[in-house]
Amino acid sequence: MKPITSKALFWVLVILVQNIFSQTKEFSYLSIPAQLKENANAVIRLNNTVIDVQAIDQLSIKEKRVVTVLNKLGNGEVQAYMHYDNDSKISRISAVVYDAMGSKIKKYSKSKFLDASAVDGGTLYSDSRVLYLDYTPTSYPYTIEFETEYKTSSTGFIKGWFPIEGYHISVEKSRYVLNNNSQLKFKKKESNFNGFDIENKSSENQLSYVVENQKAQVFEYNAVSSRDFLPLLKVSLDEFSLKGVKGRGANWEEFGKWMYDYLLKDRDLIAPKTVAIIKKMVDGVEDPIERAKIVYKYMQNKTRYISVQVGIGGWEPIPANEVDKVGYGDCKGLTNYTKALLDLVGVKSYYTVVYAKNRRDIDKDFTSFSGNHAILNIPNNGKDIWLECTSQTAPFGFLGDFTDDRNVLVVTPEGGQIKRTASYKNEQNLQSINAAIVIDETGTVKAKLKIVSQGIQYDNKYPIESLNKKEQNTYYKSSVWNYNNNLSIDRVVLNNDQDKVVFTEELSVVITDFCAQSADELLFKVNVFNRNNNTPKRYRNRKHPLKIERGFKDVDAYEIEIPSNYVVSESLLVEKKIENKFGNYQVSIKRIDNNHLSYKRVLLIKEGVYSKEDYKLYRSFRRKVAKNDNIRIALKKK
Amino acid sequence: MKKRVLLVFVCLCTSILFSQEYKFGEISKKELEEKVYAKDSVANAVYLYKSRRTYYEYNTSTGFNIITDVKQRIKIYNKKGFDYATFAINYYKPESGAKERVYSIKGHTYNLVDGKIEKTKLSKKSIFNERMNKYRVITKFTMPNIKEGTVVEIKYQIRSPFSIDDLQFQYNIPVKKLVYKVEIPEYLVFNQRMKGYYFLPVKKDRRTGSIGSDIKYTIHVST
Repeated sequence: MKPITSKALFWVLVILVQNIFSQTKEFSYLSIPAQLKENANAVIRLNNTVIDVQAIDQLSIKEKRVVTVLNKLGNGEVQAYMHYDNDSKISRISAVVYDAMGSKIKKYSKSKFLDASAVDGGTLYSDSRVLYLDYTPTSYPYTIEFETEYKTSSTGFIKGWFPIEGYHISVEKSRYVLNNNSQLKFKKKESNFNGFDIENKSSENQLSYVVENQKAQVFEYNAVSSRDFLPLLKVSLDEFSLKGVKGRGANWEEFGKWMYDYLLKDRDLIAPKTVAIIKKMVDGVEDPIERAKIVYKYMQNKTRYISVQVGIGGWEPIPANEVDKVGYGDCKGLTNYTKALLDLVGVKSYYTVVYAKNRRDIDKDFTSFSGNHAILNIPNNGKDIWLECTSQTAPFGFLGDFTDDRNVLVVTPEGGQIKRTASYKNEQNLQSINAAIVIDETGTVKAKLKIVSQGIQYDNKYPIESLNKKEQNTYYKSSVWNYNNNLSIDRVVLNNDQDKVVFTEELSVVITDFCAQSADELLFKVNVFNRNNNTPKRYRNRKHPLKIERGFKDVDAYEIEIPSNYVVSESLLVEKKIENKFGNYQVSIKRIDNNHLSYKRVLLIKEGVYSKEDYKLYRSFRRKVAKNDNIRIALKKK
Repeated sequence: MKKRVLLVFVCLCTSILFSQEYKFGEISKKELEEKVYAKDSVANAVYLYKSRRTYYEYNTSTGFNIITDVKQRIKIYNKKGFDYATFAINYYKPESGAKERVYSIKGHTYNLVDGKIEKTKLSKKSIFNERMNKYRVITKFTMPNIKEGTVVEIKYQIRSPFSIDDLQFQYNIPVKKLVYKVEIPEYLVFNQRMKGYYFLPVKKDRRTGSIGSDIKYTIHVST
């Protein structure tokens, strides 16, 4: 370290004094309170959103967002972009970049923003576009002041407020104002406001919230979603306009009714040629579920997923006969098409809106445009069947982790209903491995094994069916048994039982030099095929509750043959059982006869939310599991 | 200006000639019946035929323009090959100034239904132009009625006032037959550089072109 000379100190003082007296340096990095810099990659200096609802088809938003980026991980928080489409207009957009001391470096006017299509990879076409700022920072910290004014004729979605936007970002000030200048009724829902110092000055026709000086949240693994503990405000209008179509939705029933009447009705006509094919296929089949299975299979073979979103197409399915003609569609189109086909064979089904992928409920208590995917519901006299219509390989009635166990909106001609999709819990996600293992004198292991997977474990496994030989090989070597070197796979037989939703793998494998060898010993790691080495990260000061997203059960049983001139000493045999609220773990190594051992293992993990104090216990449980999964026993030469 | 000009053309041509002729809009049952590609049984799809002819056309107001005719015929063996039924033509088309344009996109899907060839046309409605940014546009479309075993074919033309695009010979899927033809007037000189492991034979030829009825010139044809 170089000592600071008095000369340098002098200049530092000069600069500081200058800063103090200068009025324009409000965005100087030095003015950020110290506690907001803790754990933060960026600081939201100001986020000011003012929304004016003028009429059912007139909405304007003014936003000013000032973000100081402290390091390169915070670059993503600048968010100097604005989406638009055919029925919205960005009337003003500008940005100013400041350096660490708050001096202006650069100014960007509207024409300096880049205009690009905002079509994501999975979509063939949509009219969604984005204006964005392309700025490469040259030093940190820096500040960007970003201002926009935006008008739209769609009032279906009203921007809510999520002031603490995520992890490692602190908030100096965030303000949200909504002025309702129309006669329209609106509703709002405040979640997780408790414990945060939020100033609320709302009145009858205005919402007004301010929050200041919020420290950055630290990310932790196995935690609940940030939407479940950070303040969130949702707003929606009871009457709205969406791409020129007027709608109503004071509650889910009304919203569903509107969806049915305006977006779904009369889009289910099917050409006579297909009608004839379908009728012929189900001829003689009386059971409605069997009929539905035939229709589902037909749809899977005929169609593929292609997404095209034009105009209200983001919400309205393309007509069933159009899908029938071209053989492709997006989730809405394919779901509506399957519904139309099921209608032909007399099976009632309903179009259903859902949040796919990360588990998220459609909020039963708050009606607004929600969801990002469509599936199909067959009521089946109270025993709901759910169909995923965008997959050409999913078994009938199987949702997998994409849309399972969450609240969804079922759209019926009478109105909307909130239902919960099928769940796959704990023991249902079962994988069992049975193996016959032979160890020879050189320490090489030969094994024949059978792996049977169900539930979500089925969901994870069945795609391997479509891999080619080479990819399969890589899958087993790198993904499944990456801890087993020198592995070679001689035989793979896969069986995908779609009716029972069971996936079976039968394999013959050889692992050369599996055992570490010394003069008269072979060291054998007993758990050859299912080592669970996942140990959760350690936190000295855990902040958030523990969430186990997905439970599962693994059952392993191996019969191990050791070379005839080797023995295992009695003291090495194991029998262990751990049981707690997170699940249980059992492992045993027993002698069958002189040169046969039996290895049995069960691991059950239960999904759920546990307190933050429990995290430590859970971690220690998983550590014990990992340790026991790596047990080695010594085979001694006679 | 009435003077006749004879031009020498440099032409690069790469072609592997098979006896089979590929004619747009006509397809054999054999192509549809094929279940796997014999030379590479893991291929999800194969270019049965891929051709590109790039040539110059003289226009009295704008001078030489480059025209590229593209034809593709693709066999799709399984579901993983379905992506090859979706096409994206990416070209330079700034909001103002000289630009490239795509013309006359045509496409067909062929399926074997009860032993008969079923032909489905690509509808104009399902062709989308997406402005990627200030300078580039992507024309996107996907073919209708794609099944395992389907054959699709498309053709289109790109007109460009700029330069000749690179010629690509290998793709993620096998190519059964590929014909590239580049015709360059003698006024223009191009360097050619080949990259990759394989040396491709180039057949050179020349022919005479004309501007109106007055000016005749030689074209270098490379196949």
